[in-house]
Amino acid sequence: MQNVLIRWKMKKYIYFFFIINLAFAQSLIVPIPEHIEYNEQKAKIGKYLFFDPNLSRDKNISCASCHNPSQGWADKRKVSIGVYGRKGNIQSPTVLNSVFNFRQFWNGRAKDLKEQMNGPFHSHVEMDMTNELIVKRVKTNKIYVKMFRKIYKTKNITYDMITDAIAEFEKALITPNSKFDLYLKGKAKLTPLEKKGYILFKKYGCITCHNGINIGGNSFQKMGIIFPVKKCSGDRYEISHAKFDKCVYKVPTLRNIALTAPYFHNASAKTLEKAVEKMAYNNLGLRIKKEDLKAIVAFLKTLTGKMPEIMRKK
Amino acid sequence: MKTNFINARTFWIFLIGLILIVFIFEFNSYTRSYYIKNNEIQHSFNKIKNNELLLNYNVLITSLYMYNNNDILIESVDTLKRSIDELLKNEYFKKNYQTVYNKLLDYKKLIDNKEEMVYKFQTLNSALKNSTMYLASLLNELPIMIYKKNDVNLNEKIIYSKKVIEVVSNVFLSKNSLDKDFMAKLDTRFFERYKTNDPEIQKFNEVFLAHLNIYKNNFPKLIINLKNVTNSKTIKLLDSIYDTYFKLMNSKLSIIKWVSYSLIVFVVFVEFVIFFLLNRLEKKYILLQKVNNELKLSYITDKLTGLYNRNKFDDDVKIMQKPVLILVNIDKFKHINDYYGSKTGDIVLKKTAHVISTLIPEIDASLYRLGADDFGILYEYENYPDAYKLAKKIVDYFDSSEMEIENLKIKISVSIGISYKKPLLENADIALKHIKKSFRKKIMVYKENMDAKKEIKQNIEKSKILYKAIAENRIEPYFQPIVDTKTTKIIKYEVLARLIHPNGMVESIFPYLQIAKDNKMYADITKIIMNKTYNKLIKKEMDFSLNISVEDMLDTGIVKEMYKLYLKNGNLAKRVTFEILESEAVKDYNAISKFLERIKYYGAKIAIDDFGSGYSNFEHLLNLKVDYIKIDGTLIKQLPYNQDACKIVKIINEFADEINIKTIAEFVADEKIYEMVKKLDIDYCQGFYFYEPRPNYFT
Repeated sequence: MQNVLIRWKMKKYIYFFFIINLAFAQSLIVPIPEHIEYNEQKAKIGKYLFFDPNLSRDKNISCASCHNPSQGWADKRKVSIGVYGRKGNIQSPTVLNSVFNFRQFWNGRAKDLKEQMNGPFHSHVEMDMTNELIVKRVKTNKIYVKMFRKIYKTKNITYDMITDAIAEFEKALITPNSKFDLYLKGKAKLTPLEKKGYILFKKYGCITCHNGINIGGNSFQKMGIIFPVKKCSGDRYEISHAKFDKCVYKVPTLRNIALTAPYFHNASAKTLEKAVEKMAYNNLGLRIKKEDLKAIVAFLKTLTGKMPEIMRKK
Repeated sequence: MKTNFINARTFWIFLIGLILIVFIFEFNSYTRSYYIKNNEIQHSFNKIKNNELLLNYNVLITSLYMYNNNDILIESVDTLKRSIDELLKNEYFKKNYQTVYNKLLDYKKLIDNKEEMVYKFQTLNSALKNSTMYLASLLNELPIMIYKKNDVNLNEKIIYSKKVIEVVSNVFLSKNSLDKDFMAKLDTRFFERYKTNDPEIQKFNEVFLAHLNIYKNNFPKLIINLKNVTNSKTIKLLDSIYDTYFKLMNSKLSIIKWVSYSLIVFVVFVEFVIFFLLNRLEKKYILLQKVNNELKLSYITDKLTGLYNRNKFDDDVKIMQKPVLILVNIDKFKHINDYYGSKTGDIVLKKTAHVISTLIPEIDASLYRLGADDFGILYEYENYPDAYKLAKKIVDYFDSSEMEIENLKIKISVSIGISYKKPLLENADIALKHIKKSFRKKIMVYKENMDAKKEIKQNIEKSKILYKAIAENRIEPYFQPIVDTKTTKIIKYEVLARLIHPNGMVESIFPYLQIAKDNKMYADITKIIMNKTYNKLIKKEMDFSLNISVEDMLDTGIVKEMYKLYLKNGNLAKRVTFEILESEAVKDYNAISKFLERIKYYGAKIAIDDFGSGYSNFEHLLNLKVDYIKIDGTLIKQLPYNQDACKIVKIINEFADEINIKTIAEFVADEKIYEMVKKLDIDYCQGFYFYEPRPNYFT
């Protein structure tokens, strides 16, 4: 008993020093790891499922329809179009590196990737499916049945197994070795403009919200804190109904930001320049200087990473 | 006694022991697993508490820095939640500490709440940091705006800038002191009401006011939020949960404690039981050893005399180098038993044993009782080489003294066989048998030529012949006439028993007499002879003499028969003479004197047979009132050649003549002997010179 108490105290101190060190040592932005551990066989099924339109009611919409690999695994449309041409109400965020987001969806209502899938699967304007129907559709494909049996050791495919497989695939969608990550790792040099952009990024205070491994995706913040924005659909308020949460969204990742136009939940910025300008105005209350804007955009473009390894595999 | 492999009691003790071992084993593994599982739980609690403290720390750190990596905070929240889930997933914990488990669920709810507060903190903190930072950088722009050449509104601008600086300084004061009083001084009304024509200042004021409002609105919220996040409510709850768990765990520990105590008590109890049982076993063992010794002693001891017995003798002989055995046998002990009763016989044996033990010189010798009336003295040859001397001493002692038992004077004699050669007892016995055959010797040393085996074989053969002869009625009385020496006329006949062999050969019964006595056939022979003689002589007018032994006189069956046939009839009684061996008459004088008196009463006569062969006792002759003396044949045979024999016969004859006893000479085989007999004036003659025994003198 005595031992345990001593250990408790010891541990406390050790943690303390460790964390203090970490706080100083850890950079504000951490590179994406080159590899991530995932179950390859599960991810393989997930990959097939991700691109399979049979998972939607009209068999026209797959996950990839709105998380299009050619559009930075997001959607260049203002809002996505679901089954039977139904329009969504929010701009589709990228799936890339989403495993590093602390919550999923703009308002963070899903705690992880698996839970996130309930959204598009069940949404009337997206895939409009039921769990039973999804399982039924998957079961009709003999290749799926075979693959599932191989990994999950059962003939009986469940909805949970399907989301598990897709989540495993999504987990693999990481984009390491962006120019900025290489710079952080000391393997590349930024141009003076890019470097200036990074300093401005910090100076303007962008970094207070856009930090961590995903340069965002780790806190909820208010959109338009100085000059409010008009349309705030799909915000935290829709969940909590607290006044405080009005126009509060999960801070989106800035990784691969150059690929994922248009920007913001309401697609109110079509270009990266516009987006930076808008953020400066709405959240800082200033009209950003042209040369600063140019530098910051140059910096943001260094955040585009290498495409996921899993997509290069057959 | 029946001995099972395991008796019931041992089996039960074994079973209880086995159950106890299993119980201890189970208890041990239970205790072990108890400690391991509870260590795990304690470890989990530690982890949760550490993680929450870490989260609090990280929240404070984040509030401290201008900007921070929010991932750390998110990771802290996740780690905390994971550590709670880990404990909640612990099946042992859930099963055994249900109340604690439920409390932990409450704690988890608070932590979920805290998570939301942490997220809110992030939102507030970021906005505040941004605005604070921005307010500071806005100050930069102030001088540029104010100090323009030829500005008419300079005073106004200076007042404005003074206000801006005052407010911003209050912001930093309040932010760093977290003091609400400075917040109260944060007066935004001035800026709200401020109107100017300068569009640049107008714009500045607008943005400045916006940031100021963010600060004014969010900072109190942040303070409250920070207090809520870092308050010790959840930690206290966790501590109280841990305390509850700890108490519960200790109460469960007390079960282990009590079981341990009871085990100790049991071990002490078993210790006592073992001590008690061992003690009892020891006592029983000692008792058993005592009994064993007694048994051993009784195994080697003769109960009656207290001497060693045959068993001890057998054991002792084995380990001796050159042993000598002096085997002392009480003569005719059976008669003593028969005559005085076995009680007296026993006393005789005891006294004899005592006497012998006192006669043994001071040498390393042991005395044994080796048979009913056999005593053995055993010692190493070198201790006392002259065994014969010792034997003589013993024989002489008994011959010269009498035993006094309950006012009775009993005289016993002993014969002694000595053996130097193994098998000692058998050889000494053979020597003894030789003594019994020769009536004169009392001591004999075993010699190999005594050939016990041949004798035994002969004895067996003889007993078979005799037994068959009796069974087939081939024992016949023969009659040898006794004549008057002067007239040579037949005066009477001696009845002699003859054994008729199946081939018609006639043999004297004499060689079979000892066998007959040993095999209880002697009485049969006497009866046969008495009956057959009676049948042959009843209608004749002849006198006759019958041989009778001490055994016959002591046998009530024979005595009755004798009475019925010869004594009852007065006429017949007068015609019969009973011949008794001199040696028997002397030795068993007490036993026979009464019987002889009785037959004399009926008118029968008595003759002493073989007179002169032993230690002839004239006194006894007088007392017994003998009618005839038959002088021993060995003396008669020597008469023509041996002066000494003549002298003895002459004395006997003169003595007999003196007391009116008639004499008879046996073995008168030729004329020479007859001449001597006539010369010596012996009354009657018997022998082959006159007649030989025949079965049919009267037909």
